[in-house]
Amino acid sequence: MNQFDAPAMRLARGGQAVASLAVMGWKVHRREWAFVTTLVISAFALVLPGILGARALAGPNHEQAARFASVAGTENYLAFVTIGVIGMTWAGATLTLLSIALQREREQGTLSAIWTGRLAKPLLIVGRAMGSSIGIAVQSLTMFAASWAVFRFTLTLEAGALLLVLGASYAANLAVGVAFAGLVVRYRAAATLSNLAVVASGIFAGVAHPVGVLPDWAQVVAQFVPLTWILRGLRAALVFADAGEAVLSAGVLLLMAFAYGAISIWVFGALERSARRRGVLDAI
Amino acid sequence: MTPFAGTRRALALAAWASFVREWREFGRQKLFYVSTLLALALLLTTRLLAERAFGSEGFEANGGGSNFVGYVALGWLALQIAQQGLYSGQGYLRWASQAGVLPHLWATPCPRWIPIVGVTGWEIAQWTVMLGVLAVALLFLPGAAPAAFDPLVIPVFALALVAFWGLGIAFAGVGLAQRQPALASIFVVLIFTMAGSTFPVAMLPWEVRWVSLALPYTYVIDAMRHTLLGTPTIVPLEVELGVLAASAIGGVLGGIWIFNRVANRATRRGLIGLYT
Repeated sequence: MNQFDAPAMRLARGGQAVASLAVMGWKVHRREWAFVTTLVISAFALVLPGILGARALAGPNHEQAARFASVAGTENYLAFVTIGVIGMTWAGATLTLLSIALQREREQGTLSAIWTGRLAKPLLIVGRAMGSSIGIAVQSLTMFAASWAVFRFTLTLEAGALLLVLGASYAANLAVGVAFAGLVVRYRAAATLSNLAVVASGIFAGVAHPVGVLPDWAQVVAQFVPLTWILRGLRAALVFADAGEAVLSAGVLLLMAFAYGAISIWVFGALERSARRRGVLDAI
Repeated sequence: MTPFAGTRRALALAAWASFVREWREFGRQKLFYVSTLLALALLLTTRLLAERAFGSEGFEANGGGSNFVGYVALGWLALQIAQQGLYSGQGYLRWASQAGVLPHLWATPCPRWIPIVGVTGWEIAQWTVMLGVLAVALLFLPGAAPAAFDPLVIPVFALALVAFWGLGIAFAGVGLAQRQPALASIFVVLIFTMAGSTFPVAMLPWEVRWVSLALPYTYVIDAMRHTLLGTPTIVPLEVELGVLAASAIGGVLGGIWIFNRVANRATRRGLIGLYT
């Protein structure tokens, strides 16, 4: 054992590797002009149908907003739905970020090469994906700014609580995303299934509807879905002006990040070992 | 003079070969169908829940009728089919380039847009099957069942397919000459947001409604909803059919013309296989 194998040195080397991978991931994205176009384009494509659908349901003079308020707690349905749709898009993108990064490495034929490195595999994947997540954050901001510019809904900003929720959400999404990345390593159609899981979690979390309209059993399940707390925290900070509720959501998300992160790392390891045993790491 | 020139049967066979190849490559993945139908089921669930929160009275007052779920489901599927038509040619050329078979494709003695016709045909065919499955599923969903089946939906749908198809060929050409072409994406966004997939176009202010009315896909969705859900049309149905027919003819002729021009230009500049 030499001095470079000391735990502190290993940690420092790991952190350095993650940082350099994150920078590389960002460089790959930002050098493409199409990156910007795609960001702006998808910002509109993802959000507007959801908001316009809610606007259509509310009636020509917002007559149905009162009915919506009786279950959602606010008549500000445009802000409620906008935050729901953008929150889910952002969470879904960060959740599947790792899977996509892995899929790309496989398609480019570099997966086997990076698999032989000494860095822990989850760290390796997280590092590469973190660079791309800057683009996703920009996209979400663009979506939000564009939606606000068009619909001019009322917002109540609790800046500190909002940042706390965003940070905790990012950690929770990356933690769960490691398990999805494991599925991609093992199964061919895992990327499709990951997307389905994101949409399904949106139903429990109340993307364009309040959780109160769900059946009782679904409301219980919703408490274990990170997206529920992400949206709850974001809406508390931006619609209900309730900093306490936002901080509570951030706390729950951090707990989820630790608990789900531990489970995800175990799942990832099991699936990766299974893929190696069957010789399908690069074959799918 | 190429040996295939002027031989209609040979051209049809070349397109058919691409159709079959696409089916063999991708069509047999059962999980694709399962996940697509699941995605649709999840989408409909979100719409049902939104309707539960707002009620359907507001949607009806906006001119969308009382069947909100059926309205959204038809809009979503029609646009999915449009998207396949627009992207599949571009996707096929990219696949051919990555797989290293693009030079062979380019050397085939038939017009270069013919294989794209076969590929797009396959993509559209599988989504048409999905539309059929959706129509059956809606029959069993309370409150979402189509009001009636008007046989007019068949020519409406056929004209729409031809229009999607033609534009797809044009976008495939653009994909040959540009790295990460955004034109198809811009068009898809326009039709997803402005063609009335989840809302009646009539509720939009005139500052943006004109964009919706300028898109042929608005009339595709509108005519399909009219024939299956009995919703009122934006303009008389005869006018919508006329717009569809003109779009179909213009789409195919314009698509082939654009593809040939861009492909020739890309060949002269040595770009074939570089960006796809």
